[in-house]
Amino acid sequence: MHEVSISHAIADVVLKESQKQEAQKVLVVELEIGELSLLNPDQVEFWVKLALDKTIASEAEIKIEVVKPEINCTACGYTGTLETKDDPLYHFVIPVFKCPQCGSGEITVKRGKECKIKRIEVLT
Amino acid sequence: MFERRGLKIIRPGKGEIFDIELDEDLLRKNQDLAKENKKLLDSHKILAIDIMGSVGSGKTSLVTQLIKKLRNKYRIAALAGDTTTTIDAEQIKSAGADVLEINTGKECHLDANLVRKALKELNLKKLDLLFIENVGNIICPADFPLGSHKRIVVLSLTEGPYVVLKHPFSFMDADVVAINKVDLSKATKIAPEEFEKQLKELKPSLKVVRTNCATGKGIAEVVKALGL
Repeated sequence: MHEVSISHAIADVVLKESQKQEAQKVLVVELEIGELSLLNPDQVEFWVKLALDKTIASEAEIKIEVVKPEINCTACGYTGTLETKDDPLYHFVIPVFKCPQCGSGEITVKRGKECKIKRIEVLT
Repeated sequence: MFERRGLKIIRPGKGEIFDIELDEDLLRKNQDLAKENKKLLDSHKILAIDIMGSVGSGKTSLVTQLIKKLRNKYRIAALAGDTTTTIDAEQIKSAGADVLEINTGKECHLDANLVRKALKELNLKKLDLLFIENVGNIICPADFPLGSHKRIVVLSLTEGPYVVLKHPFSFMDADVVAINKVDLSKATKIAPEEFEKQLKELKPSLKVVRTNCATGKGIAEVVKALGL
């Protein structure tokens, strides 16, 4: 639901950084969106494109990589992915918030919550 | 090539393609601010609990009941997040706690920056416990940690039978879930047991409590689950 404000923030950073390099045109914008974030990659792409309309980045290709969750278990030291529940009711896979190795709920999420501008490619 | 202060600098020329590695996380800024908030609260030995839940789930009623139950034990303040109006803040105030309203305007969630601004307005030296009630929304607030120590999610039987199944991410960072309006189980044809089963499956470490925040039923259990 906050895709709009996040997308405007993305567009601001993209334009600011490309201006620093005195770019004529932004060719590629690469984003990383975590699977545990509440952001829908399709919507982010749509809004980023709109936010970049009529700018030097209006024709930029928006590439989005969806980042899988990675957790760390404080109880047994496990580091890795979360166990998931695949239910036909869902369009997506639901993670189970416990350690897949020892079952402890004492886990910290290391990756999977991000919304990151990885890199941009500009024409100078 | 450029030269600045005797150093040779290679820069892209006109018409060249140039990569800019940014690695800039837009949610990270909020996460860093949240950590600062937590540090500030810790330095004053204040425990902060944030409350998340749908519109009309009973967040304000829960905070009001908790304050009534705990006001003789702790010095309490509350932050009431809402898009507009001071309805929530006024209700909480009537329970006998210092309260600050945070109006987000059109934003669908509180963020760490708004909470930081609110913390500056509170007399932190005279506080043991802080409740932070988020905007009524079960989706967006999950992306924006505020710096609280614990999170309670309120879900009510009037939201339909699929709240847990539809919004698994909302419970990711929760410690306690209050299943509210249990008195309406018959009318809504929803058994609280169903939610309990789904929540335990999703996150086994969750403490789940049944409440009726209109009457105060289950509030003692919420207090216990929060370790207060």
